[in-house]
Amino acid sequence: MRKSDRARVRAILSSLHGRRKAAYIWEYFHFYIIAAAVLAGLIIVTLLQTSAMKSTYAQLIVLNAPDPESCSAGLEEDLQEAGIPGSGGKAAVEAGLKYDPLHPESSSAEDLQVVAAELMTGEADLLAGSQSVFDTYAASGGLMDLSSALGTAIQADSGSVYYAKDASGKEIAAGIWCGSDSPLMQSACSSGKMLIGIAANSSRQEAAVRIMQYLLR
Amino acid sequence: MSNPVQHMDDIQYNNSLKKKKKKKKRNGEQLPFYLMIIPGMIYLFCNNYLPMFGIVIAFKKVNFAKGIFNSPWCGLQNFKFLFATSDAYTMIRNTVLYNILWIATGTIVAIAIALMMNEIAKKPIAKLLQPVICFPSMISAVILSYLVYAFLSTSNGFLNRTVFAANPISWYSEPKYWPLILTIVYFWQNAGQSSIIYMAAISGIDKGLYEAARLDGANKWRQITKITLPLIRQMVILMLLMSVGRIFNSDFGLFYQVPLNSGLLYSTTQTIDTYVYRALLEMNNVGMSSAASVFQAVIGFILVLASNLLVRKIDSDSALF
Repeated sequence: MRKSDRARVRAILSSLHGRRKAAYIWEYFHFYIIAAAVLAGLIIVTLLQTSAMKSTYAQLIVLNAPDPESCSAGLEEDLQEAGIPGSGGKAAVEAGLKYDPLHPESSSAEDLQVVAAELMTGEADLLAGSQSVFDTYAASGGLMDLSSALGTAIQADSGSVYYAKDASGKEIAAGIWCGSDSPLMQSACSSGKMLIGIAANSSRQEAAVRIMQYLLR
Repeated sequence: MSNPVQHMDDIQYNNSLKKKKKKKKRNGEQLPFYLMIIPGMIYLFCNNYLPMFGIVIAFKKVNFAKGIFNSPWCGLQNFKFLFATSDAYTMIRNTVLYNILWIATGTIVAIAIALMMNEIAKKPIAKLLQPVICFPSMISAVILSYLVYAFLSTSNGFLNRTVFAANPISWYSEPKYWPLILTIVYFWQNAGQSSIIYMAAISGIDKGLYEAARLDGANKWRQITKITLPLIRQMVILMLLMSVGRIFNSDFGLFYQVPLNSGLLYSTTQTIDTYVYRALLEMNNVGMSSAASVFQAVIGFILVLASNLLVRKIDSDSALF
Protein backbone atom coordinates (compact mmCIF):
# COMPACT_ATOMS: atom_id res chain seq x y z
CA MET A 1 0.00 0.00 0.00
CA ARG A 2 1.32 3.43 -0.96
CA LYS A 3 1.85 6.20 1.58
CA SER A 4 -0.97 8.30 0.14
CA ASP A 5 -3.34 5.27 0.24
CA ARG A 6 -2.35 4.54 3.80
CA ALA A 7 -3.16 8.08 4.88
CA ARG A 8 -6.49 7.94 3.04
CA VAL A 9 -7.47 4.63 4.69
CA ARG A 10 -6.43 5.99 8.09
CA ALA A 11 -8.60 9.06 7.55
CA ILE A 12 -11.60 6.94 6.52
CA LEU A 13 -11.14 4.59 9.48
CA SER A 14 -10.92 7.47 11.96
CA SER A 15 -14.27 8.73 10.74
CA LEU A 16 -15.93 5.34 11.33
CA HIS A 17 -16.87 3.67 14.60
CA GLY A 18 -17.84 0.26 15.97
CA ARG A 19 -19.49 -2.19 13.58
CA ARG A 20 -19.09 0.07 10.56
CA LYS A 21 -15.36 0.26 11.16
CA ALA A 22 -15.13 -3.53 11.53
CA ALA A 23 -17.24 -4.01 8.39
CA TYR A 24 -14.99 -1.62 6.44
CA ILE A 25 -11.84 -3.43 7.60
CA TRP A 26 -13.34 -6.83 6.77
CA GLU A 27 -14.56 -5.67 3.34
CA TYR A 28 -11.18 -4.37 2.21
CA PHE A 29 -8.74 -6.52 4.17
CA HIS A 30 -10.41 -9.91 4.60
CA PHE A 31 -7.82 -11.72 2.45
CA TYR A 32 -5.01 -10.29 4.57
CA ILE A 33 -6.87 -11.16 7.79
CA ILE A 34 -7.49 -14.76 6.68
CA ALA A 35 -3.88 -15.13 5.51
CA ALA A 36 -2.60 -13.75 8.81
CA ALA A 37 -4.89 -16.11 10.77
CA VAL A 38 -3.72 -19.12 8.76
CA LEU A 39 -0.08 -18.12 9.23
CA ALA A 40 -0.61 -17.61 12.96
CA GLY A 41 -2.31 -21.01 13.18
CA LEU A 42 0.60 -22.69 11.40
CA ILE A 43 3.12 -21.04 13.69
CA ILE A 44 1.16 -22.05 16.81
CA VAL A 45 0.77 -25.68 15.63
CA THR A 46 4.49 -25.86 14.74
CA LEU A 47 5.48 -24.45 18.13
CA LEU A 48 3.15 -26.83 19.97
CA GLN A 49 4.50 -29.82 18.03
CA THR A 50 8.07 -28.77 18.66
CA SER A 51 7.46 -28.39 22.38
CA ALA A 52 5.66 -31.76 22.48
CA MET A 53 8.64 -33.37 20.70
CA LYS A 54 11.06 -31.77 23.12
CA SER A 55 9.13 -33.04 26.12
CA THR A 56 9.07 -36.66 24.88
CA TYR A 57 11.11 -38.79 27.26
CA ALA A 58 11.39 -41.67 24.80
CA GLN A 59 9.32 -43.09 21.98
CA LEU A 60 8.39 -46.73 21.55
CA ILE A 61 7.04 -48.11 18.26
CA VAL A 62 4.90 -51.21 18.58
CA LEU A 63 4.30 -52.80 15.19
CA ASN A 64 1.14 -54.72 14.31
CA ALA A 65 -0.63 -54.29 17.62
CA PRO A 66 -4.06 -55.97 17.33
CA ASP A 67 -5.66 -53.19 19.38
CA PRO A 68 -3.50 -50.08 18.88
CA GLU A 69 -5.53 -47.75 21.11
CA SER A 70 -5.60 -50.06 24.13
CA CYS A 71 -1.94 -50.90 23.60
CA SER A 72 -0.70 -47.33 23.53
CA ALA A 73 -3.04 -46.06 26.27
CA GLY A 74 -2.33 -49.08 28.51
CA LEU A 75 1.42 -48.90 28.10
CA GLU A 76 1.63 -45.14 28.59
CA GLU A 77 -0.43 -45.50 31.76
CA ASP A 78 1.74 -48.39 33.00
CA LEU A 79 4.91 -46.41 32.38
CA GLN A 80 3.53 -43.37 34.16
CA GLU A 81 2.46 -45.45 37.15
CA ALA A 82 5.92 -46.99 37.28
CA GLY A 83 7.42 -43.51 37.60
CA ILE A 84 8.83 -43.42 34.07
CA PRO A 85 9.93 -40.78 33.17
CA GLY A 86 9.40 -39.23 36.59
CA SER A 87 9.18 -35.47 36.28
CA GLY A 88 8.64 -33.74 32.95
CA GLY A 89 8.33 -35.37 29.54
CA LYS A 90 6.30 -38.35 28.51
CA ALA A 91 7.04 -41.84 27.27
CA ALA A 92 5.16 -41.97 23.96
CA VAL A 93 3.89 -45.21 22.49
CA GLU A 94 3.04 -45.38 18.78
CA ALA A 95 1.07 -48.57 18.23
CA GLY A 96 -0.97 -47.88 15.10
CA LEU A 97 1.68 -48.86 12.53
CA LYS A 98 1.31 -52.00 10.44
CA TYR A 99 4.26 -53.70 8.85
CA ASP A 100 5.23 -57.36 8.71
CA PRO A 101 7.31 -58.68 5.79
CA LEU A 102 5.68 -62.10 6.24
CA HIS A 103 2.23 -60.58 5.79
CA PRO A 104 2.52 -57.90 3.09
CA GLU A 105 -1.23 -58.01 2.49
CA SER A 106 -1.89 -56.54 5.93
CA SER A 107 1.08 -54.17 5.81
CA SER A 108 1.07 -50.54 4.85
CA ALA A 109 3.80 -48.96 2.70
CA GLU A 110 3.12 -45.59 4.32
CA ASP A 111 3.69 -47.08 7.79
CA LEU A 112 6.86 -48.72 6.56
CA GLN A 113 8.16 -45.32 5.50
CA VAL A 114 7.14 -43.77 8.82
CA VAL A 115 9.06 -46.46 10.73
CA ALA A 116 12.09 -46.06 8.42
CA ALA A 117 12.09 -42.28 8.90
CA GLU A 118 11.67 -42.48 12.67
CA LEU A 119 14.39 -45.09 13.07
CA MET A 120 16.76 -43.20 10.78
CA THR A 121 16.30 -39.80 12.39
CA GLY A 122 16.49 -41.14 15.94
CA GLU A 123 12.93 -40.06 16.67
CA ALA A 124 12.04 -43.63 17.70
CA ASP A 125 14.03 -45.10 20.58
CA LEU A 126 12.52 -48.55 20.97
CA LEU A 127 10.94 -51.03 18.58
CA ALA A 128 8.63 -53.89 19.49
CA GLY A 129 7.43 -56.44 16.96
CA SER A 130 7.62 -59.97 15.62
CA GLN A 131 10.74 -61.95 14.71
CA SER A 132 10.37 -61.22 10.97
CA VAL A 133 10.20 -57.50 11.72
CA PHE A 134 13.40 -57.72 13.76
CA ASP A 135 15.18 -59.72 11.04
CA THR A 136 14.28 -57.03 8.49
CA TYR A 137 15.21 -54.01 10.59
CA ALA A 138 18.41 -55.60 11.91
CA ALA A 139 19.48 -56.24 8.29
CA SER A 140 18.78 -52.59 7.45
CA GLY A 141 20.98 -51.44 10.33
CA GLY A 142 18.00 -50.05 12.23
CA LEU A 143 18.62 -51.90 15.51
CA MET A 144 21.29 -51.50 18.13
CA ASP A 145 23.43 -54.38 19.35
CA LEU A 146 21.97 -54.81 22.84
CA SER A 147 25.14 -56.37 24.19
CA SER A 148 26.70 -52.91 24.05
CA ALA A 149 23.65 -51.12 25.46
CA LEU A 150 22.73 -53.51 28.25
CA GLY A 151 26.19 -54.97 28.97
CA THR A 152 26.19 -57.54 31.75
CA ALA A 153 22.41 -57.47 32.15
CA ILE A 154 22.00 -59.16 28.81
CA GLN A 155 24.43 -61.94 29.63
CA ALA A 156 22.46 -62.86 32.70
CA ASP A 157 19.37 -63.47 30.62
CA SER A 158 20.94 -64.79 27.42
CA GLY A 159 18.17 -67.36 26.88
CA SER A 160 15.66 -64.73 25.88
CA VAL A 161 18.00 -62.76 23.61
CA TYR A 162 17.25 -62.83 19.88
CA TYR A 163 20.25 -62.66 17.55
CA ALA A 164 19.89 -61.39 13.99
CA LYS A 165 22.27 -60.38 11.21
CA ASP A 166 22.96 -56.69 10.84
CA ALA A 167 23.71 -54.72 7.62
CA SER A 168 27.27 -56.09 7.47
CA GLY A 169 26.14 -59.68 8.05
CA LYS A 170 27.43 -59.77 11.63
CA GLU A 171 25.21 -61.37 14.28
CA ILE A 172 23.99 -58.89 16.88
CA ALA A 173 21.72 -59.11 19.90
CA ALA A 174 18.85 -57.35 18.13
CA GLY A 175 16.06 -57.89 20.63
CA ILE A 176 14.81 -59.62 23.73
CA TRP A 177 11.70 -61.79 23.91
CA CYS A 178 8.99 -60.39 26.12
CA GLY A 179 7.68 -62.68 28.81
CA SER A 180 3.95 -63.33 29.18
CA ASP A 181 3.79 -61.03 32.23
CA SER A 182 5.44 -58.12 30.44
CA PRO A 183 3.25 -54.98 30.29
CA LEU A 184 3.64 -55.21 26.50
CA MET A 185 1.84 -58.55 26.47
CA GLN A 186 -0.68 -57.42 29.08
CA SER A 187 -1.73 -54.31 27.14
CA ALA A 188 -3.10 -55.95 23.99
CA CYS A 189 0.05 -55.05 22.05
CA SER A 190 0.58 -58.47 20.54
CA SER A 191 -1.33 -61.61 19.77
CA GLY A 192 1.80 -63.77 19.65
CA LYS A 193 5.42 -63.71 20.76
CA MET A 194 7.02 -60.31 20.74
CA LEU A 195 10.54 -58.90 20.70
CA ILE A 196 11.71 -55.53 21.96
CA GLY A 197 14.90 -53.76 20.94
CA ILE A 198 16.57 -50.35 20.85
CA ALA A 199 16.86 -48.26 17.67
CA ALA A 200 20.43 -47.89 16.43
CA ASN A 201 20.09 -44.12 16.16
CA SER A 202 18.20 -43.63 19.43
CA SER A 203 18.82 -40.13 20.67
CA ARG A 204 17.61 -40.99 24.19
CA GLN A 205 19.46 -44.22 24.84
CA GLU A 206 19.41 -44.01 28.63
CA ALA A 207 15.64 -43.56 28.65
CA ALA A 208 15.28 -46.40 26.12
CA VAL A 209 17.25 -48.79 28.34
CA ARG A 210 15.17 -47.80 31.37
CA ILE A 211 11.88 -48.41 29.55
CA MET A 212 13.15 -51.67 28.14
CA GLN A 213 14.17 -52.92 31.56
CA TYR A 214 10.73 -52.05 32.88
CA LEU A 215 8.93 -53.77 30.00
CA LEU A 216 11.04 -56.92 30.42
CA ARG A 217 10.60 -57.19 34.18
CA MET B 1 27.57 30.02 -22.75
CA SER B 2 27.65 26.36 -21.75
CA ASN B 3 29.85 23.81 -23.42
CA PRO B 4 27.78 21.75 -25.97
CA VAL B 5 29.55 18.52 -24.96
CA GLN B 6 28.76 19.23 -21.32
CA HIS B 7 25.15 19.93 -22.35
CA MET B 8 24.85 16.54 -24.16
CA ASP B 9 26.30 14.79 -21.13
CA ASP B 10 23.71 16.45 -18.92
CA ILE B 11 20.89 15.37 -21.22
CA GLN B 12 22.20 11.78 -21.27
CA TYR B 13 22.58 11.82 -17.51
CA ASN B 14 19.05 13.14 -17.05
CA ASN B 15 17.68 10.53 -19.47
CA SER B 16 19.41 7.72 -17.66
CA LEU B 17 18.11 9.07 -14.33
CA LYS B 18 14.57 9.18 -15.74
CA LYS B 19 14.94 5.63 -17.06
CA LYS B 20 16.18 4.43 -13.68
CA LYS B 21 13.27 6.14 -11.92
CA LYS B 22 10.82 4.62 -14.40
CA LYS B 23 12.33 1.17 -13.92
CA LYS B 24 12.22 1.58 -10.14
CA LYS B 25 8.59 2.67 -10.32
CA ARG B 26 7.71 -0.26 -12.59
CA ASN B 27 9.52 -2.68 -10.30
CA GLY B 28 7.70 -1.17 -7.32
CA GLU B 29 4.36 -1.62 -9.07
CA GLN B 30 5.18 -5.21 -9.97
CA LEU B 31 6.49 -6.13 -6.54
CA PRO B 32 3.08 -7.32 -5.24
CA PHE B 33 2.87 -9.70 -8.22
CA TYR B 34 6.33 -11.08 -7.51
CA LEU B 35 5.32 -11.51 -3.87
CA MET B 36 2.22 -13.40 -4.97
CA ILE B 37 4.48 -15.90 -6.75
CA ILE B 38 6.38 -16.71 -3.55
CA PRO B 39 3.89 -19.17 -1.93
CA GLY B 40 3.59 -21.10 -5.20
CA MET B 41 7.35 -21.15 -5.64
CA ILE B 42 7.85 -22.36 -2.06
CA TYR B 43 5.27 -25.10 -2.60
CA LEU B 44 6.87 -26.11 -5.92
CA PHE B 45 10.32 -26.17 -4.35
CA CYS B 46 9.25 -28.16 -1.26
CA ASN B 47 6.93 -30.55 -3.09
CA ASN B 48 8.69 -31.07 -6.42
CA TYR B 49 12.35 -30.15 -6.09
CA LEU B 50 13.38 -30.91 -2.52
CA PRO B 51 12.36 -34.61 -2.75
CA MET B 52 14.65 -34.96 -5.78
CA PHE B 53 17.54 -35.34 -3.34
CA GLY B 54 15.93 -38.72 -2.62
CA ILE B 55 17.22 -39.90 -6.00
CA VAL B 56 20.51 -40.70 -4.25
CA ILE B 57 18.68 -43.50 -2.38
CA ALA B 58 18.48 -45.37 -5.71
CA PHE B 59 22.27 -45.61 -5.75
CA LYS B 60 22.81 -46.39 -2.06
CA LYS B 61 22.63 -49.46 0.13
CA VAL B 62 20.56 -47.75 2.79
CA ASN B 63 21.73 -48.36 6.32
CA PHE B 64 19.35 -46.92 8.90
CA ALA B 65 22.13 -46.41 11.44
CA LYS B 66 24.22 -44.35 9.01
CA GLY B 67 21.42 -42.36 7.43
CA ILE B 68 20.86 -41.73 3.73
CA PHE B 69 23.92 -39.64 2.91
CA ASN B 70 26.40 -41.72 4.89
CA SER B 71 25.15 -45.09 3.61
CA PRO B 72 27.54 -46.80 1.17
CA TRP B 73 27.11 -46.35 -2.59
CA CYS B 74 26.11 -49.49 -4.48
CA GLY B 75 26.18 -48.37 -8.10
CA LEU B 76 23.35 -49.79 -10.18
CA GLN B 77 22.74 -52.76 -7.88
CA ASN B 78 19.30 -51.49 -6.88
CA PHE B 79 18.25 -51.34 -10.52
CA LYS B 80 19.12 -54.99 -11.08
CA PHE B 81 16.14 -56.26 -9.12
CA LEU B 82 13.81 -54.73 -11.67
CA PHE B 83 15.31 -56.71 -14.53
CA ALA B 84 16.77 -59.76 -12.79
CA THR B 85 13.37 -61.04 -11.70
CA SER B 86 11.43 -63.56 -13.76
CA ASP B 87 8.47 -61.16 -13.67
CA ALA B 88 10.44 -58.38 -15.38
CA TYR B 89 9.12 -59.13 -18.86
CA THR B 90 5.50 -59.45 -17.66
CA MET B 91 5.42 -56.24 -15.64
CA ILE B 92 7.20 -54.10 -18.23
CA ARG B 93 5.04 -55.54 -21.02
CA ASN B 94 1.85 -54.93 -19.05
CA THR B 95 2.81 -51.39 -18.09
CA VAL B 96 3.79 -50.33 -21.59
CA LEU B 97 1.00 -52.11 -23.47
CA TYR B 98 -1.80 -50.86 -21.20
CA ASN B 99 -0.41 -47.34 -21.51
CA ILE B 100 -0.11 -47.47 -25.31
CA LEU B 101 -3.64 -48.84 -25.61
CA TRP B 102 -5.09 -46.30 -23.18
CA ILE B 103 -3.19 -43.32 -24.57
CA ALA B 104 -4.38 -44.09 -28.10
CA THR B 105 -7.98 -45.03 -27.38
CA GLY B 106 -8.27 -42.70 -24.39
CA THR B 107 -7.48 -39.67 -26.55
CA ILE B 108 -10.11 -40.68 -29.11
CA VAL B 109 -12.73 -41.34 -26.42
CA ALA B 110 -11.96 -38.07 -24.60
CA ILE B 111 -12.20 -36.02 -27.81
CA ALA B 112 -15.43 -37.79 -28.78
CA ILE B 113 -16.98 -37.00 -25.38
CA ALA B 114 -15.78 -33.39 -25.63
CA LEU B 115 -17.32 -33.05 -29.11
CA MET B 116 -20.62 -34.51 -27.94
CA MET B 117 -20.68 -32.33 -24.83
CA ASN B 118 -19.93 -29.30 -26.97
CA GLU B 119 -22.95 -30.06 -29.15
CA ILE B 120 -25.27 -30.07 -26.16
CA ALA B 121 -23.47 -27.32 -24.24
CA LYS B 122 -26.40 -24.93 -24.42
CA LYS B 123 -29.04 -27.48 -23.45
CA PRO B 124 -30.05 -27.85 -19.76
CA ILE B 125 -29.05 -31.54 -19.76
CA ALA B 126 -25.38 -30.47 -20.19
CA LYS B 127 -25.41 -29.05 -16.65
CA LEU B 128 -26.34 -32.49 -15.33
CA LEU B 129 -24.15 -34.54 -17.66
CA GLN B 130 -20.90 -32.66 -17.09
CA PRO B 131 -20.69 -33.43 -13.36
CA VAL B 132 -22.01 -36.95 -13.93
CA ILE B 133 -19.22 -37.90 -16.37
CA CYS B 134 -16.58 -36.35 -14.13
CA PHE B 135 -17.85 -37.93 -10.92
CA PRO B 136 -16.13 -41.35 -11.33
CA SER B 137 -12.68 -39.72 -11.31
CA MET B 138 -13.36 -38.54 -7.75
CA ILE B 139 -13.96 -42.06 -6.46
CA SER B 140 -11.05 -43.56 -4.54
CA ALA B 141 -9.48 -46.80 -5.72
CA VAL B 142 -10.72 -48.68 -2.65
CA ILE B 143 -14.35 -47.76 -3.31
CA LEU B 144 -13.84 -48.47 -6.99
CA SER B 145 -12.55 -51.95 -6.17
CA TYR B 146 -15.74 -52.69 -4.19
CA LEU B 147 -17.92 -51.38 -7.01
CA VAL B 148 -16.14 -53.70 -9.44
CA TYR B 149 -16.41 -56.54 -6.93
CA ALA B 150 -20.17 -55.98 -6.77
CA PHE B 151 -20.24 -56.74 -10.48
CA LEU B 152 -17.66 -59.53 -10.60
CA SER B 153 -18.03 -61.46 -7.34
CA THR B 154 -18.22 -65.15 -8.23
CA SER B 155 -21.11 -65.98 -5.93
CA ASN B 156 -23.05 -62.72 -5.61
CA GLY B 157 -21.77 -60.53 -8.43
CA PHE B 158 -24.24 -58.81 -10.73
CA LEU B 159 -22.80 -60.42 -13.88
CA ASN B 160 -22.77 -63.96 -12.53
CA ARG B 161 -26.33 -63.56 -11.25
CA THR B 162 -27.70 -62.21 -14.50
CA VAL B 163 -25.73 -62.57 -17.74
CA PHE B 164 -23.63 -65.59 -16.73
CA ALA B 165 -26.13 -67.22 -14.36
CA ALA B 166 -25.95 -70.52 -16.25
CA ASN B 167 -22.14 -70.65 -16.36
CA PRO B 168 -20.72 -68.42 -13.64
CA ILE B 169 -17.19 -67.16 -14.25
CA SER B 170 -14.57 -66.93 -11.54
CA TRP B 171 -13.42 -63.45 -12.56
CA TYR B 172 -10.78 -63.08 -9.85
CA SER B 173 -8.92 -66.24 -10.86
CA GLU B 174 -9.02 -65.88 -14.67
CA PRO B 175 -6.33 -63.46 -15.88
CA LYS B 176 -7.52 -63.45 -19.50
CA TYR B 177 -10.56 -61.26 -18.72
CA TRP B 178 -8.63 -58.55 -16.91
CA PRO B 179 -7.20 -56.53 -19.81
CA LEU B 180 -10.80 -55.87 -20.87
CA ILE B 181 -12.09 -55.33 -17.31
CA LEU B 182 -9.28 -52.90 -16.46
CA THR B 183 -9.78 -51.05 -19.75
CA ILE B 184 -13.51 -50.63 -19.09
CA VAL B 185 -12.91 -49.51 -15.50
CA TYR B 186 -10.16 -47.14 -16.63
CA PHE B 187 -12.37 -45.46 -19.21
CA TRP B 188 -15.34 -45.31 -16.87
CA GLN B 189 -13.18 -43.56 -14.31
CA ASN B 190 -11.01 -41.32 -16.48
CA ALA B 191 -12.67 -40.54 -19.81
CA GLY B 192 -14.92 -37.80 -18.44
CA GLN B 193 -12.13 -35.98 -16.66
CA SER B 194 -9.75 -36.27 -19.64
CA SER B 195 -12.40 -34.75 -21.90
CA ILE B 196 -12.62 -31.54 -19.82
CA ILE B 197 -9.38 -30.19 -21.29
CA TYR B 198 -10.63 -30.83 -24.82
CA MET B 199 -13.99 -29.27 -23.94
CA ALA B 200 -12.15 -26.14 -22.81
CA ALA B 201 -10.09 -26.11 -26.02
CA ILE B 202 -13.21 -26.53 -28.18
CA SER B 203 -15.11 -23.83 -26.32
CA GLY B 204 -12.26 -21.43 -27.13
CA ILE B 205 -12.74 -21.82 -30.88
CA ASP B 206 -14.22 -18.77 -32.61
CA LYS B 207 -17.95 -19.49 -33.20
CA GLY B 208 -17.78 -17.35 -36.35
CA LEU B 209 -15.81 -20.10 -38.07
CA TYR B 210 -18.69 -22.57 -37.61
CA GLU B 211 -21.17 -19.93 -38.73
CA ALA B 212 -19.18 -19.33 -41.92
CA ALA B 213 -18.82 -23.07 -42.53
CA ARG B 214 -22.59 -23.56 -42.12
CA LEU B 215 -23.24 -20.78 -44.62
CA ASP B 216 -20.88 -22.54 -47.04
CA GLY B 217 -22.94 -25.72 -46.62
CA ALA B 218 -20.60 -27.70 -44.36
CA ASN B 219 -22.40 -30.40 -42.37
CA LYS B 220 -21.60 -31.27 -38.74
CA TRP B 221 -19.00 -33.90 -39.65
CA ARG B 222 -17.13 -31.52 -41.96
CA GLN B 223 -17.22 -28.81 -39.28
CA ILE B 224 -15.63 -31.26 -36.84
CA THR B 225 -12.97 -32.55 -39.24
CA LYS B 226 -12.15 -29.21 -40.88
CA ILE B 227 -12.48 -26.78 -37.96
CA THR B 228 -12.60 -28.42 -34.53
CA LEU B 229 -9.97 -31.12 -34.89
CA PRO B 230 -7.34 -28.97 -36.65
CA LEU B 231 -7.80 -26.22 -34.06
CA ILE B 232 -7.42 -28.51 -31.04
CA ARG B 233 -4.50 -30.38 -32.62
CA GLN B 234 -1.90 -28.57 -30.51
CA MET B 235 -3.77 -29.43 -27.31
CA VAL B 236 -4.01 -33.08 -28.40
CA ILE B 237 -0.28 -33.18 -29.07
CA LEU B 238 0.45 -31.54 -25.72
CA MET B 239 -1.70 -34.10 -23.89
CA LEU B 240 -0.12 -36.97 -25.85
CA LEU B 241 3.39 -35.79 -25.04
CA MET B 242 2.51 -35.58 -21.36
CA SER B 243 1.03 -39.08 -21.46
CA VAL B 244 4.08 -40.48 -23.23
CA GLY B 245 6.21 -39.21 -20.35
CA ARG B 246 4.27 -41.48 -18.01
CA ILE B 247 4.29 -44.56 -20.21
CA PHE B 248 6.32 -46.54 -17.65
CA ASN B 249 3.99 -45.53 -14.82
CA SER B 250 0.63 -47.03 -14.01
CA ASP B 251 -2.45 -46.17 -12.02
CA PHE B 252 -1.52 -47.97 -8.82
CA GLY B 253 -5.02 -48.08 -7.36
CA LEU B 254 -6.45 -49.53 -10.55
CA PHE B 255 -3.90 -52.32 -10.85
CA TYR B 256 -3.52 -53.11 -7.15
CA GLN B 257 -6.90 -52.50 -5.54
CA VAL B 258 -9.34 -53.33 -8.33
CA PRO B 259 -8.04 -56.91 -8.91
CA LEU B 260 -8.04 -57.23 -5.08
CA ASN B 261 -4.30 -58.00 -5.15
CA SER B 262 -5.12 -61.48 -6.46
CA GLY B 263 -1.93 -63.45 -7.17
CA LEU B 264 -3.70 -65.50 -9.85
CA LEU B 265 -4.11 -62.38 -11.97
CA TYR B 266 -0.51 -61.18 -11.91
CA SER B 267 0.15 -62.21 -15.52
CA THR B 268 -2.20 -59.46 -16.70
CA THR B 269 -2.37 -57.08 -13.73
CA GLN B 270 1.23 -56.87 -12.55
CA THR B 271 2.82 -53.54 -13.52
CA ILE B 272 6.09 -51.91 -12.50
CA ASP B 273 4.35 -49.93 -9.74
CA THR B 274 2.53 -52.88 -8.21
CA TYR B 275 5.64 -55.06 -8.40
CA VAL B 276 7.73 -52.41 -6.67
CA TYR B 277 5.07 -51.94 -3.99
CA ARG B 278 4.92 -55.67 -3.28
CA ALA B 279 8.71 -55.95 -3.28
CA LEU B 280 8.95 -53.00 -0.89
CA LEU B 281 6.56 -54.63 1.57
CA GLU B 282 8.28 -58.00 1.37
CA MET B 283 11.91 -56.82 1.42
CA ASN B 284 11.66 -53.38 3.06
CA ASN B 285 14.32 -52.13 0.64
CA VAL B 286 13.69 -48.46 -0.04
CA GLY B 287 16.70 -48.36 -2.37
CA MET B 288 15.04 -50.75 -4.80
CA SER B 289 11.75 -48.87 -4.90
CA SER B 290 13.59 -45.61 -5.34
CA ALA B 291 15.55 -47.14 -8.23
CA ALA B 292 12.29 -48.14 -9.92
CA SER B 293 11.00 -44.56 -9.64
CA VAL B 294 14.22 -43.15 -11.06
CA PHE B 295 14.02 -45.65 -13.93
CA GLN B 296 10.42 -44.62 -14.69
CA ALA B 297 11.25 -40.92 -14.52
CA VAL B 298 14.39 -41.13 -16.68
CA ILE B 299 12.74 -43.28 -19.37
CA GLY B 300 9.68 -40.99 -19.31
CA PHE B 301 11.89 -37.92 -19.69
CA ILE B 302 13.79 -39.46 -22.61
CA LEU B 303 10.51 -40.47 -24.28
CA VAL B 304 9.08 -36.95 -23.91
CA LEU B 305 12.23 -35.46 -25.45
CA ALA B 306 12.20 -38.00 -28.30
CA SER B 307 8.47 -37.54 -29.02
CA ASN B 308 8.84 -33.78 -28.93
CA LEU B 309 11.76 -34.00 -31.35
CA LEU B 310 9.62 -36.09 -33.67
CA VAL B 311 6.71 -33.64 -33.44
CA ARG B 312 9.06 -30.73 -34.12
CA LYS B 313 10.36 -32.43 -37.25
CA ILE B 314 6.84 -33.07 -38.56
CA ASP B 315 5.20 -29.82 -37.46
CA SER B 316 7.42 -27.39 -35.55
CA ASP B 317 4.46 -25.22 -34.41
CA SER B 318 2.94 -28.10 -32.47
CA ALA B 319 6.10 -28.99 -30.55
CA LEU B 320 6.06 -28.51 -26.78
CA PHE B 321 9.52 -26.88 -26.68
